[in-house]
Amino acid sequence: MFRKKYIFFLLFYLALILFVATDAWLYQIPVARIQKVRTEESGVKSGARGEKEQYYEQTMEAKLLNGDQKGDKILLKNEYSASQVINQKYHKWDQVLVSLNGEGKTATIKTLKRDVYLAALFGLMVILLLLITKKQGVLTIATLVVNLGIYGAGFTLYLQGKDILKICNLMAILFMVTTLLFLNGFSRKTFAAVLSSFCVLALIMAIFFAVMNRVAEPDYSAMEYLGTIENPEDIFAAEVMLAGLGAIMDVAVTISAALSELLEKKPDLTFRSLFRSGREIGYDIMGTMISVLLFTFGSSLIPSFLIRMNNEVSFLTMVRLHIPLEIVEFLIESIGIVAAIPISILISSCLLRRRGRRSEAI
Amino acid sequence: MIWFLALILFVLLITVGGERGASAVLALCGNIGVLALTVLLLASGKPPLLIIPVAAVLISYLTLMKQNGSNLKTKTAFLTVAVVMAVLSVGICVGVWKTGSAGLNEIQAVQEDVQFYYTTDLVISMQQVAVGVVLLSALGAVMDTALSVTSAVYEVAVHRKDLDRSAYFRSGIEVGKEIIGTTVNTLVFAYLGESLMLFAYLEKNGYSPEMMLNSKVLFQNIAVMLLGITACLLSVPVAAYLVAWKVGQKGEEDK
Repeated sequence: MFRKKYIFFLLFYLALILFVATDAWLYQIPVARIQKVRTEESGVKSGARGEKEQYYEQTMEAKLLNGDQKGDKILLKNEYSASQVINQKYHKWDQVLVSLNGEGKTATIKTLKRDVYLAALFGLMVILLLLITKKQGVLTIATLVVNLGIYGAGFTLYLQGKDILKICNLMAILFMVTTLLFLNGFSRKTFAAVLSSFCVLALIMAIFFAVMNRVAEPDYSAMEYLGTIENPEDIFAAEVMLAGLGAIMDVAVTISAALSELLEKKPDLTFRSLFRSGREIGYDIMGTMISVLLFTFGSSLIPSFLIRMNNEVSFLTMVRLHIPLEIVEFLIESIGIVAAIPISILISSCLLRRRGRRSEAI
Repeated sequence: MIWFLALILFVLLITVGGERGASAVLALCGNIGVLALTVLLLASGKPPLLIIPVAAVLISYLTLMKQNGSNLKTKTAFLTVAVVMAVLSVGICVGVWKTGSAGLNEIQAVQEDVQFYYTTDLVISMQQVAVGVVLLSALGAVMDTALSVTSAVYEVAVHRKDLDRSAYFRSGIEVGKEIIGTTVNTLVFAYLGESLMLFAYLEKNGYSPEMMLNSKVLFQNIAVMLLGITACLLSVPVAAYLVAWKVGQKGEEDK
């Protein structure tokens, strides 16, 4: 019975990949499959640190997969360096999006068709999730889908010119309510977790705005994505608000669930002993949660560091000029995680203990 | 501004966490130090596939054994991280090669300084760097998951010494199920925040939905998130199996 279900999942997964791999007919942009590749060394340039960088030139024959010229052969050219910093090597069977030149005999590659790989990775994650966590996996996926829906709706509103900060406030509240409801069910401890997350979020945003307004405005133009956007402060504030939400909810839900479990076993626990157990649980998750954030933020900066440090920008200059906003974001989220511990203990023990007393009275 | 925030964090960690808050501060500084050293070595042209695994081992050692004490729980978690990362890195190598997603993405590559003033001939294999970036960004979450599973099963074993290995394994999986949901959310939101800027940027620069869907920048962001979640998922059965085996072994020795 269970076997059958897994075979069904696997077949569905393969069908999905097959569909996305052959979806060129859905594209407006011409898509071509590379059929023949000839790679030649095209020269050597002097690179960083006095070393030599080898360059290669690729001449490729490709077949168009969509549009009026479907089936036609076209010629593609590509140059790449051994390091592949801003260029890349193409392989036989790769599908690429192209723009046709002149009479349509040659074309320029715009980008590799990566939707297949996105689908494959996403499917793999979903299958593992269902395989390992079974029923909870379905709930996790449902949460994910609902949250992505909220996110999409919020982003559409932003594109229509609504104020990004107002949208984000609304989105953050919706995210908290739906996520915690899905994870915890409709109960008093869910209410406690939502309330705690909300308080922590309000606290860290207050700290954020207080610090940002008091100290000199950071230079947004040096930032990776923000440099060219019109209202960088607002977008950055929105990002700070959303990025730490998951971690804060994680702390809040862990503590409220654990305390309600404790109160169920021993309804007569005093506030002080509740607080002590809550702190004990808090210690355990605090350190690892902060390092989860450190590595998700930190490692994505590595390529940017490498290119600048090989162009006479020192490590310290990088830290001072190029990543201060990333550091601010990381610090704010970490403060949120730590502050979430006493706040959720306080709120959960107030809310949950009252229930205990009431049931005693009855 | 940064110093002020760092001070707030430091004071909070110490007041909320006491002695263990102090050790969390130390572990945090150690991890940042290792990351900085990794960047320095990579920038001087050392082979990424040698440097990054060494850094990952060092970080796991610091976070698991130094911060939480060297015992059966942390040693098993360490082993889990090593196994999961080794298996996953093979897949990531193939993936990076196949998807051409290494190097600077479309947005990083058109920054003014990169485009006009800098040499991009770094003589550093960006494909290897990309593999390392994926591994490092998943590392924190994998350590978290592995340690939660191993310490929970260890607690069970302390209270119920009479269970057999398959029972320990099952309780490990049960604990894993409980924590995966929130871990997935933590990772999703951490990347969702950043993607807000990304979409705003792409939209502003006239990317069509088709180009957005296939762009390197979107793939890099989503792939790192999905692979992080996948690594956490894989670490649940691996950690449960390893800790069940170790605890069972110890139980037999005690008899």
